Amino acid sequence: MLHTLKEPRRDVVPSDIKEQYIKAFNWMLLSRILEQKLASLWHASKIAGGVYLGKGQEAISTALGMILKSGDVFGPLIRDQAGRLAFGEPLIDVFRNHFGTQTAPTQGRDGNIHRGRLREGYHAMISHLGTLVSVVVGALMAHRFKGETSVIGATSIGDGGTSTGSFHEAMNMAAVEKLPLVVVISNNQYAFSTPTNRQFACQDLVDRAIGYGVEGYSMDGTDLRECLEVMGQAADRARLGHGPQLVVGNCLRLNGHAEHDDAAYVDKALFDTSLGRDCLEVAECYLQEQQWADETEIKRWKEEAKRQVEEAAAKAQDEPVADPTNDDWCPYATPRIAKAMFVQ
Amino acid sequence: MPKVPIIMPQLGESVAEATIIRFSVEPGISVEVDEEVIEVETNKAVMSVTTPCAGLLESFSVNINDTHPIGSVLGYIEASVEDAERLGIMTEAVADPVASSSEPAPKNPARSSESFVSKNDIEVPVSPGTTEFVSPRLQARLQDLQLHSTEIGVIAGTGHGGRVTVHDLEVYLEGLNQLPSKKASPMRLTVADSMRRAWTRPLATIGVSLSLEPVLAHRKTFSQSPGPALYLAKALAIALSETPQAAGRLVGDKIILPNSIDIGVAVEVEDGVIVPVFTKLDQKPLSELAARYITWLEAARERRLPDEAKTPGIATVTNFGSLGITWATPIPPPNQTLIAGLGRGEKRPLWDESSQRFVPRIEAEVTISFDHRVIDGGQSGRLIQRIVQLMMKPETL
Amino acid sequence: MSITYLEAIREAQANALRDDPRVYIYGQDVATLGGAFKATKNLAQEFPGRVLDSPISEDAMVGSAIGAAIEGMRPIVEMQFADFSSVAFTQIVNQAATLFWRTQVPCPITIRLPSGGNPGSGPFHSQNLESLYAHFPGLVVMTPGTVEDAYTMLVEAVEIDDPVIFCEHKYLYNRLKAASLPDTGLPCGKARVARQGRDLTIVAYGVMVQEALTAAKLLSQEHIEVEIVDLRSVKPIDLETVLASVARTARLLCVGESFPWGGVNAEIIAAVATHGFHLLDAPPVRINSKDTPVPYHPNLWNVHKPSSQVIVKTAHQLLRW
Repeated sequence: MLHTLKEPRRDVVPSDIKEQYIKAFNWMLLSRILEQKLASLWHASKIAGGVYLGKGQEAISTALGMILKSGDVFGPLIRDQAGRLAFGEPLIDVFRNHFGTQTAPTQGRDGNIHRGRLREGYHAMISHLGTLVSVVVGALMAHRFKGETSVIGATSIGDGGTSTGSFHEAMNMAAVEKLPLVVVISNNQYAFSTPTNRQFACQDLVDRAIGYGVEGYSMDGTDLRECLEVMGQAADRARLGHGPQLVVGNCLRLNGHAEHDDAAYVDKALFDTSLGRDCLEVAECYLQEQQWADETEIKRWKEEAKRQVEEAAAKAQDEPVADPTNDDWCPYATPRIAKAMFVQ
Repeated sequence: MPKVPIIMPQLGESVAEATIIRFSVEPGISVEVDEEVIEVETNKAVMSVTTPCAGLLESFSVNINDTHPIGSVLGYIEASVEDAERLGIMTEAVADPVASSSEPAPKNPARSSESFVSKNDIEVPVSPGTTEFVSPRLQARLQDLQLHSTEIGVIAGTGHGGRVTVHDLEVYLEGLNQLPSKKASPMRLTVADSMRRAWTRPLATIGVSLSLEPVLAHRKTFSQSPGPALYLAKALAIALSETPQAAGRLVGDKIILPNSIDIGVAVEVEDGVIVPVFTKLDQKPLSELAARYITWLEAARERRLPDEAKTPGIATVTNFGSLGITWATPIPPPNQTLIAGLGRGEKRPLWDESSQRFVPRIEAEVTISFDHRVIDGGQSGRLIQRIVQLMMKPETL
Repeated sequence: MSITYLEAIREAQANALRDDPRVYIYGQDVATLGGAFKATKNLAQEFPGRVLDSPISEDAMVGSAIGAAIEGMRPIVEMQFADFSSVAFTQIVNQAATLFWRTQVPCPITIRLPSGGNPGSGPFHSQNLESLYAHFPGLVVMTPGTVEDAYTMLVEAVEIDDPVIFCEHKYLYNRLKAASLPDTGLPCGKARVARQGRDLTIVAYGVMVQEALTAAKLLSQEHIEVEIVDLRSVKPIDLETVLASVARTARLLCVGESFPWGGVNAEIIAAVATHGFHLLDAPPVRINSKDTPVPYHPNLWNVHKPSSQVIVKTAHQLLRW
């Protein structure tokens, strides 16, 4: 009988926690500054489509990205910019995909967060929430078929996304196939304008783990240290063959659903609770408390992050955007099928 | 009196509907154009609906407190025909498209559930079953061969309902290939096409015998004497200036009337016919006509007629008498509905009442062919009599 | 020795499993049971660990196939009935079909759809969904109508680097037999002239090829010779062969078992009307099932779908032009 562990095990303190923490903080910082840049580009009408940001979720996402090694499978979702950077995504890919340049991962055919580096195990999401989880499940099945049993997978979903049939089928299948998959639910209290009391009736999302027959953990999504510890544990358990790990990170969405949404519907009272804390600020304080970094160093990191972001944005802005005369307009990989394409 | 609807206007950029709150005018009252007749309320303001034209406010078709979308009918104004037409409202006379077509659909067609399709309650025959049907394939074949679709009219069809099939066409053409042939000249093709189009009207011909003696005597008074055909042309011009509707053209339900008495005179050229046109002929003296005719005859044969001679023309005169023909039924060109022809002058014995004996006189037949949709025997008869009258007194021309 | 349409499908899968270690089969009841229709009978035993029973989760079955394909596998997903593939609709048309377009990484999955009606199978075990999937760019849709094609086209489906929707017709499973299986066949995207004729072109696929052949025999007795074009795949579709046939006969009749509104027949007719207008002596006509869900009682079902009698009657009408 599997239990759901709601409290993380704090007795295990990783020896390189300081290094890990500093690294994680920098990913969070870079992600935050990058997203601020994206927001201002959107407001300046430089980006054609929507801009979706993950303010408040950087701790959860960074932890997700950092538990994976090269060769693992990563399926990030909408607000996982920090995790993507932690997993190794080049900064410039972000701007390219938002601008829709010919050099973008999707060459202008898809945009914003719909991107990945599939040959490196970093999968590209589509808009239908929950559908990416089974893709990660399948990738892990493939690794198993090939005998690559040290590979694990990690994916992310929101509180809203857990309502989808796709998510349910994927979790169930991962459990039945007993795959080494870490699923983190970023419970940021809102799915667009829908609060959690209109999204699910169970008392705590982590209780679903029992239903699926998998191990479940909760963590304070605003506390980077807790996120690193709990996620690290979940990854270890997955690698040890304990099957899927469902981790729920609780936090608050600190921006609109997208930049075009002013989120006026969010209960203002939440901002004053511990749930509403900005994980980046919390981490900055913690770094200084632990004397792992001082103000000067942090300021220097911020400036470096800004510089990197500006450099990447400028470079991407100079690159040619998608050109209809330059697109082969072919959705097929197989050459002879492409040749036989439908003629109107 | 046509009824013009009062329509709910676009009352604001995002307004989709409005509520009726007050009628400003009673039905039965005369109204001006742009007069306020209904007050409506949108989610932004109270606004007025005004009349599209002047007339009698016949009725409102909505109630107070009803909400209606933009574009809906709120009432009707009895308006003048001019206003209704200006606003694009169909008047009763043309409201029924089936009734106004020249070949009305049969009321009780032969019912076969397979052969009719109902489109908005109008019976649409589905099966072609006629020799007229030319399939896309046949049309394409005709185009390839540069044949006009009317060519197949002479072919006996073996297809359903007597239709000509591609096979029938091929057999026919192969038969022709066995016979000697030569290429038709561009002039021949032009005349052929013109005659094909001319033949789409129901043409009739009437004729009289005319004594040429007065004309032959009169022409001796000129240094450059006009031929008898030019006298006919001038007489036709005068007669038509008096009754221009005889040269009218029927298009739909309108008769297009001539606005200038421009008469063409046919000239034979190599392998065909050219018709230079003399504008405002009713007002030109015969002497001028004669000189111009000689010049234009030359020019026509050399294909260098001036632009003035190429004006469309309302009727034509043809002088087949010069070819030795006694009488003929000429065909008016496609853009005209009237043609007069003069036959060969012949010495004939005519009965002279005063001397109670036959005397030799030179006579010729004048024939007029006309589009029988535009005029009948009566009008054409009166026209030809007037021409005769004028030609018997050539000094009046 | 004779082999059925179903056995051909099983044989193709066995060969794929044998020849390519990247191939595996995932579907409900495919392992121990060997499939609801026995399409994978004994394969789990012959290829241990390569034929797996999935939970009733069509969405995740396809999603996981996509993930596995990205990592280099060549999964065959068996839907128990085409009718249930609608649960996986979003994975098929939004994820699988768009993957290469979005990422330049191919998605070599094969989804087998047992399609079409049998007497008594009713509205949810009889659907033909090829038109639905052909609508979406990026998918290959196959509709084999012969035992030989069921074999060679399924082998080809696994080899193709794009997602293939393999619409196998259930009515033909055990009723259609062939003497033997060929080594190779026409490639996907090439239609086959199943019967030569001169008076009318009938374009068909799947079970309707057989129905058209029956109609052709009846018409032949009246000295009407129809030409039958078996499309074999509806995406890509071989318009060249269709147009060449219409050039010979000047008349077109498209027959399909799917619902009438929009679909394969409509596409062929639109294409021929545009590119082959000058070839036609009569309007192009189509025959589909009625525009209602597929009925349960065989009396209703027999009239719901196109039959050789209806084909004969329509042929007569077309020849009156």
